[in-house]
Amino acid sequence: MALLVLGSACLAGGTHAQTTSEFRRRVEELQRTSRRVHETLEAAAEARTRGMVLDTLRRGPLILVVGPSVEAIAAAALDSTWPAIEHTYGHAIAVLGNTALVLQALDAPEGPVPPQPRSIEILASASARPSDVAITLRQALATQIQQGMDSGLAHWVGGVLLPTPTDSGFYGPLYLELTISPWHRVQDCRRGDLASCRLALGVDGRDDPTDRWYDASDRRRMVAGWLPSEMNGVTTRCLQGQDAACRQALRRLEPTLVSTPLGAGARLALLDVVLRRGGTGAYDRLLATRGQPIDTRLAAAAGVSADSVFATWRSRVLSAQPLPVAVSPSSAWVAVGWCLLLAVLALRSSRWR
Amino acid sequence: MFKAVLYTQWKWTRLPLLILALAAFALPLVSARQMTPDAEYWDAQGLLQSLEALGAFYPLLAATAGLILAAAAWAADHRGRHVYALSLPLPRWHYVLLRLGAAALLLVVPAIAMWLGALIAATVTTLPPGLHAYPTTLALRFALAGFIALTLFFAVSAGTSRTAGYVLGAIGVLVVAQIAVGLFDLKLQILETILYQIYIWPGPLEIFVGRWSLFDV
Amino acid sequence: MSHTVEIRDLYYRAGKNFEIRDLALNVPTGSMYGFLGPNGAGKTTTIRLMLGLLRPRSGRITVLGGEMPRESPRVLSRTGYVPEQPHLYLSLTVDEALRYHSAFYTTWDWKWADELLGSFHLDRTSLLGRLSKGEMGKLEVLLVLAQRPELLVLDEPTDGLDPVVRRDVLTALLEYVSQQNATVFISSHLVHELERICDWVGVMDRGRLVAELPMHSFKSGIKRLRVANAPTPAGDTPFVLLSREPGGSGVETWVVRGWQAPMTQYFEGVGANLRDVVDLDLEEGFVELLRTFRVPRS
Repeated sequence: MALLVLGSACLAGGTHAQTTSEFRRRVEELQRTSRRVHETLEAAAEARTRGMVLDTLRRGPLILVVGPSVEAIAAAALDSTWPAIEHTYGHAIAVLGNTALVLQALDAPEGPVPPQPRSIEILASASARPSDVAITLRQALATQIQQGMDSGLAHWVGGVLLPTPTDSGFYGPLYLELTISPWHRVQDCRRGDLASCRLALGVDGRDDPTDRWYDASDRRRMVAGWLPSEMNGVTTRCLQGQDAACRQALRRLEPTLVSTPLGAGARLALLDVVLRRGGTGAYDRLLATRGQPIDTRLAAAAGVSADSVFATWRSRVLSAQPLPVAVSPSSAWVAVGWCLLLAVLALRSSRWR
Repeated sequence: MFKAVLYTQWKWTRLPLLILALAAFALPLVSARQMTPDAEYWDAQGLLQSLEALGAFYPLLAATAGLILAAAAWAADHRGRHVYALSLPLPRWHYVLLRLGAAALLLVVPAIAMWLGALIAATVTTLPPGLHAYPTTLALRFALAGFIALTLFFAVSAGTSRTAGYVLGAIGVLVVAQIAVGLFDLKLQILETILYQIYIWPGPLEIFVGRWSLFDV
Repeated sequence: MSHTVEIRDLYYRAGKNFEIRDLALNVPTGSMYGFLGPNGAGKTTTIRLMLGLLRPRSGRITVLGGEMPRESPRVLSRTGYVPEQPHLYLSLTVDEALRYHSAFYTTWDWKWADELLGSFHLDRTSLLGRLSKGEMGKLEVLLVLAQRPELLVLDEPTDGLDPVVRRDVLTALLEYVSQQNATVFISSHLVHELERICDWVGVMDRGRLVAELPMHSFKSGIKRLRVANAPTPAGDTPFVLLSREPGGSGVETWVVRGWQAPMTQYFEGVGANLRDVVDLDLEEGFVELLRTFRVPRS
């Protein structure tokens, strides 16, 4: 069977001259495909021996294996999820071709899907709504795709971006973080200093995070919160106000362990802004700029200047201010007006007129 | 006259009023308990979320206070079929105003209790930077919501049974219309539209919806 | 003669079956007016219309010179009303009820209220909800008397009360009337009670005023006659023949209104023999009057 596939591929590819590397790449690709087909056929055969018919949903390079009872739910979930995945990640979705996804519905009447080789299982319920399954699918697909991210970018991002058809709901908590964070870089960012935003997001200053991301009072706070109470008097001196002691204490930490003033959510939001601004191919451009500074990569992906990216991100976060708890004057007057109207209605009741 | 009417209404509601006042006083303090002195900012998000969950109790308490005071204002007269009230030597509207005024004055009690509780909670709580306490705003909003509920239930209770029948009939007609619309598969949301108008500005219940919290950004 | 209450052409309708039509009623100032009628006659409704608790469809009501219901507050400030059913707030104590009631009446007399409390043996601290029927009745009368009203309107004030309580209540009423020259409008179906205290009587039945006249005329005017060889038909009579019933031995029993002694000549004129003239008390007269009103005379 494998030889047949190989042979057909060769014939289909034609007999024109190819470079050695191209040929090698092609052979490897065909071998991968052949292996997957072989394994899928084996699994199908095994399922058949158990009397279970599996369904396979395909979208681009993605193969999603499901049991018959959840096929409709999975198809609907995939229909709602796939366009955003495809739009956001562009060519990076090719990595999905390496492994199949298996949707395991443990409460399915036909029983669990038998183990599939080179696959990732995601769990759902046979009675789940397509929207719930879509969330799980989105998480799994985004995680898989972003595994192809280079380590430098992945480390900076610090999380998995979940593309959604509309603006995600994580800007509200970000507004809160931007507003109440005690770190001075964050406070300066909120006040409009884009350079501080870069630092707070960890885009700049990675060479000396404790010094560039935090000021003296921040360092003192960090030592008080994170470090053991006594380290040869260093901590004590730091807490007494000696910044040099604070720096000395914090220098014990690996730079990569010093967290950015703004959390991973803020960086994911920045990534979200970049990919939306950059449109189709933004993610590809992001990956293509591997090795370059983060701000350069973000700007290249977005197709605008870095400052524009940060400014957009900041205004997006600030516009997500939740509804105030305070009563606006108009609401208060409207309430008073309604009270008066209802009181008049009571007075005008036929019994009391 | 107002003193006499106020006394009777106070007597009829003193126990529920006490409970309402205690609840109104305690609610902000319960919020403050969640703000521990050493709360770090990264706890604040979770804290604010749990405060928001607690926030549902404020409008509920305001509505309950309004309902109890409105019902109590009319309960004794309803029992006597309003004969006593109608035979008193004052214009009828004047009598209604006395009852409403007394109920409104009594509603100030839980509002002040809430304000005091909020002030104490704000004073004893160390807030993360960027968060603020809104004790006066909270109490004012509670009072306004309570007055809306009071006047609404008061107006309903002041009406005759025929009026109540009209109101219920109107609601019934809307429900039937909505069902009919559904049966004929028309894309018209009658009840939803009306409820939406009631709950958004400048609807009467707009002040109830939204976020209620003593602490916020 | 001036009237404290004047009702003209009153029309009121409630539901499909009950109406008060063409009611004309006059309560002379300073009188004790007994308003009689069986249950369901419309007495309470008439009182409520009189006091502005209900609105008539047409007609005119004047109480203490004020048009009702337009001038209700002014009139009611000078009127004491005891309704048929107790209407006070049961969760108040006696003392609280007095304070509440007194707040609405500028003429309130605390001294007299305290005296009446003592003579009625009412405990200030008792809850109204715990008072007996008699005590509640006394309290209601106390409240209206302490107001010092010019007009007292009492709807079945002694209904269901024991004789001792009834005596106390009526004594207090009479005492007040004698001091104040107030007008009392008292409705009841306890005819014998009104007979003793009222000087005017109005009889209502089925939404109509059947009769309105001084008490002495009512009592003295209705007689039961035993007539032998009574003429058929009676012809023109100087009195109002309310009813006639055959009896034994050819003797009929006639009930007449407006009887006076010289009218015996009538029977002589028609060849009948008047055997006996029997006085009817108010209750008997009331019953006969109603019977005549409801059934045309034979």
